[in-house]
Amino acid sequence: MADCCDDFTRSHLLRASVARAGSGLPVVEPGMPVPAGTGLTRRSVLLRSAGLALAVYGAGRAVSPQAVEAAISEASGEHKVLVSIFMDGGADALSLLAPVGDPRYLTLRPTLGALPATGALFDADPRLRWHPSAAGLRELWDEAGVGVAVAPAIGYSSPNQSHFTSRHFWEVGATDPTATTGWLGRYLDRVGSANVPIQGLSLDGTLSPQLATASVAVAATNNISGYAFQVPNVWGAMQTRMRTGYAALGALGSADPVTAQARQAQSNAAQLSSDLAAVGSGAPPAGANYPAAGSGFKTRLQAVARLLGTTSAGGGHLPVRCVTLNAQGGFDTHSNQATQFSDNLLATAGNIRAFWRDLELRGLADRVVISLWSEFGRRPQENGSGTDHGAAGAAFVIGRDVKQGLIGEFPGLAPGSGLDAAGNLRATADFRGLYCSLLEQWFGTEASGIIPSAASFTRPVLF
Amino acid sequence: MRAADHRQVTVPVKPKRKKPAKVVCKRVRVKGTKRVKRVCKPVKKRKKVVKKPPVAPRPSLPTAIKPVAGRPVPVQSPAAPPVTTPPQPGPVPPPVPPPASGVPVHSGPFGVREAQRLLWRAGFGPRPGEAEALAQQGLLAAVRSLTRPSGAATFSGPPVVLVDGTPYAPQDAWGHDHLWFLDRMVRSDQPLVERMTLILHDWFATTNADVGNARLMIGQNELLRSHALGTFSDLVSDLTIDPAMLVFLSGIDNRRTAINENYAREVMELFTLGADRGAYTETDVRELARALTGWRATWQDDIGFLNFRFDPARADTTSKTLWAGTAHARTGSFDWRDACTLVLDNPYHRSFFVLKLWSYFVPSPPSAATQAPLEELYVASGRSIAQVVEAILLHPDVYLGAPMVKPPAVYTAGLLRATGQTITTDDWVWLGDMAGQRLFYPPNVAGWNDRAWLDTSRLYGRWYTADAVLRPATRLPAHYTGSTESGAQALAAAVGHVGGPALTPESLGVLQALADQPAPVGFDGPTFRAHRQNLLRQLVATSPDYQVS
Repeated sequence: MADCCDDFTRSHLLRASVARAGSGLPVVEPGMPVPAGTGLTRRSVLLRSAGLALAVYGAGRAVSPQAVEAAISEASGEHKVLVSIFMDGGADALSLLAPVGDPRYLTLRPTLGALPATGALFDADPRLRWHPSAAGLRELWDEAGVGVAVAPAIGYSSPNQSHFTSRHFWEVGATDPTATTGWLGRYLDRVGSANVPIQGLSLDGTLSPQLATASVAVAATNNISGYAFQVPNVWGAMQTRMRTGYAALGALGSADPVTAQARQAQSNAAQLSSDLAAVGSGAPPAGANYPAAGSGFKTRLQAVARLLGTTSAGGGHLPVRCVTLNAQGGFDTHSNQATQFSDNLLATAGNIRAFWRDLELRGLADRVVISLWSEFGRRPQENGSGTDHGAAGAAFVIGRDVKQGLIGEFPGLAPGSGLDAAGNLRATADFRGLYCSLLEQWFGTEASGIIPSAASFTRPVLF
Repeated sequence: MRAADHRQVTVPVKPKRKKPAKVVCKRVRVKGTKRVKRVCKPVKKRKKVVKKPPVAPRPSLPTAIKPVAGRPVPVQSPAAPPVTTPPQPGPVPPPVPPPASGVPVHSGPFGVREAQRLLWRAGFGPRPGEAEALAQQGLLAAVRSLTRPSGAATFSGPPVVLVDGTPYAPQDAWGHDHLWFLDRMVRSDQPLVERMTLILHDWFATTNADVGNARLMIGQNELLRSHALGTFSDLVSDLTIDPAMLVFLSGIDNRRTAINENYAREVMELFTLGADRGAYTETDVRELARALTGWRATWQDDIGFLNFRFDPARADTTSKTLWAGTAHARTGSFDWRDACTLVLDNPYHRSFFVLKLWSYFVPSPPSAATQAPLEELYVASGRSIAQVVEAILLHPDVYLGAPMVKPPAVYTAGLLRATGQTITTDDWVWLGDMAGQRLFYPPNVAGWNDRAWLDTSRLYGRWYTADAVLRPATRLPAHYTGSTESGAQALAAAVGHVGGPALTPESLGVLQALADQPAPVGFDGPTFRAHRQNLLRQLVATSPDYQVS
């Protein structure tokens, strides 16, 4: 899908399918027999082509197995992908893009302001300077072939200063403490397939709540290239038998919700293991130039690039749609901020730049957009060697066709206009507006039904 | 399904397991600055083995009750004498009078199945025969054998000895902190003390990723253990000034001239009151932070922080107002001790405590008719943890409600207990990490996310945990020379090997069908039977039925 977002809406896909229906595309209708000899079940055909409404194809047409394969890969691969990178702990927006040009800054930050004050000017708002360790992001900003949209003060009204509550709001895409599905999970529930866990993948030891779905399978692993279930002295045909048994125990279902969940997880694990078997473990392409810093984050980004570049047996890419991972280190810098923030930002920004290059070299740059975010920013007034929890934070959207510029604006540090009554930075953009833009302008699906009260949020123009 | 799924793998491909380099980390103050950075170095072989003797827990029930400000002084009901019960099956003891707390008590059958569940919820599962013996005692005596242990714990079996010859050094060697705690779970005869310690480690989650000092972390763990069946008031007071906590939540950085809100926020949000229910405001966070000022420590290179102490010169002694605008507003020149009392006296605390404690033992919320008397019991008992736990473990919801997923450490310790093993390898450390519960390294101050114990990543860790438990008894073709073991016999042997867990009929059906399949082409009888036994054991130990209890 080399073209812009509008080309890949579901309605477009449906229209395109209708247009082709008369020219020999496979017939997949309720009541049709399972395609024989393909190893495919009717269920897998239907599930893997969930974007294709069943009524689209005319009835009564005999199909060759090859045509079925072709249709599946057309429907299941080549999705637009969002890679969501989370800076855990509340990254300090006022260091990342430091308002050195505001005279109040060095009063609020007599110690911590010194280093960012040496950074390069941010040309979209000369009050701000890039932190020297944000060089990777600044380079992407300066490059011609990629766009970066920057939100210098993003959040929501009545900001919550609990890590867990605020992060939860961002994860579920609503300021609703009781929501149980993630905003990306609801997107996958709309467009995804029931039994394709790889469509929503956390590169982590556990699933990101952003990906929590109500109905379709999603997955987590930090071991993309070695996700296999084996034991010694069970080899060959017996190993296949064990794998089958593992999947069969997971497929049992249960009236008891806890047992049902345990079995579903096992079923997802069996499927994921099968789907990831095609992903290799090779080195990134020469020229990606991953930096030395940030080994854990780097390894995960390199795995994402390999995953997205993998082609399946049918020739298309794997049906990945949403990927989540954590940035390097923690950003909850109550103390010792100067060192900790610098180190983690350097590794995060430098590896994101290399990851983008990796995607370009693999020819994936048209399919992938990166978002970088944190649950809140930090208190403008420093506390000694660190900063406490604040309100508005910084976020970035990076992609080949992303329209470069600001999302909202920097509000300044003046009490009242820039800072709220508690002395925290006011938000000039709402994260839910950003989500609406990503859903509508990137994924090509309506935000309504995924983001509560979607109509009430201003959408930044990202593409 | 892709063609790759059906390939015949004949060459064993071991999964890639990355074992982290053994390192110790410490905080080093950068010379000439106030900056502290973490430095990690590979561990050198130690010449001397440091062994930590088991520490006797404190008496199981509170002996004194502090008056609770703002409320009537609770009347202490006399603590019943500890019941010591032999673990062997024997004659049913005379009935013990049921507690009169008003909390519902399970009146249905208490058989082996219920005893198994009790041991999984309040401990680390049964050793072979233990559930049968416990069932003989009846519900009340069984529960009290857990909630009212007498004297110091005793440990069965040998202490940690690593087969690779590495000296065991919990405070110094990479990962041995994890082994130290896991070993207690496997061998202690006071499982609820260890289970409560694990619960409190999650409740007051402190991670060595930030503290960087296993000595302080193990010290905190001993503190949690000493209060595990004590009073919550003492626990909160002691933890507030526990060295690991003072480092982790910036207590030693919180001073009059540079207020640090870290501990003040989390003690209310996560430890005592709960977020988003109107219990406190952002102003309360700032006011409480001022009350908590004054603690400091001395940095010494090569050792880290030491000499944790209260320094009046650092304390904010001016007036603070908590809960402003409510009926329970309080003003005074509060210090850190007052701060601990203030949060526990906040009217939102008792319900927070009861719900949080309950959630570790029962997956569904308590009814109002259960919650109210539990709160009354908590207050009337002088905030006794043991008495509330006891009432929860007697509750019908434990035995009649839905199963719970076993936390990874419980699953691991339970498998080791079921198969009669002790700790002989440090593989449990990285396996614990993969399964999602590296002890002393909870992911953040909110503890482990126990709604996410089972996902594709965690199941991968559990698979290799089960593999490591079963591996010492891996079957070889030589074990089956001349054997005519049938499919049914093979399955019975596999279930027995894992301690005889009760599997559901539908799971047994899948396993039986698998066991009944004939040998594949190319497998001789002994090779087939060895492979079959290994795969059945693995599928039983990882089965969804066994992941929950």
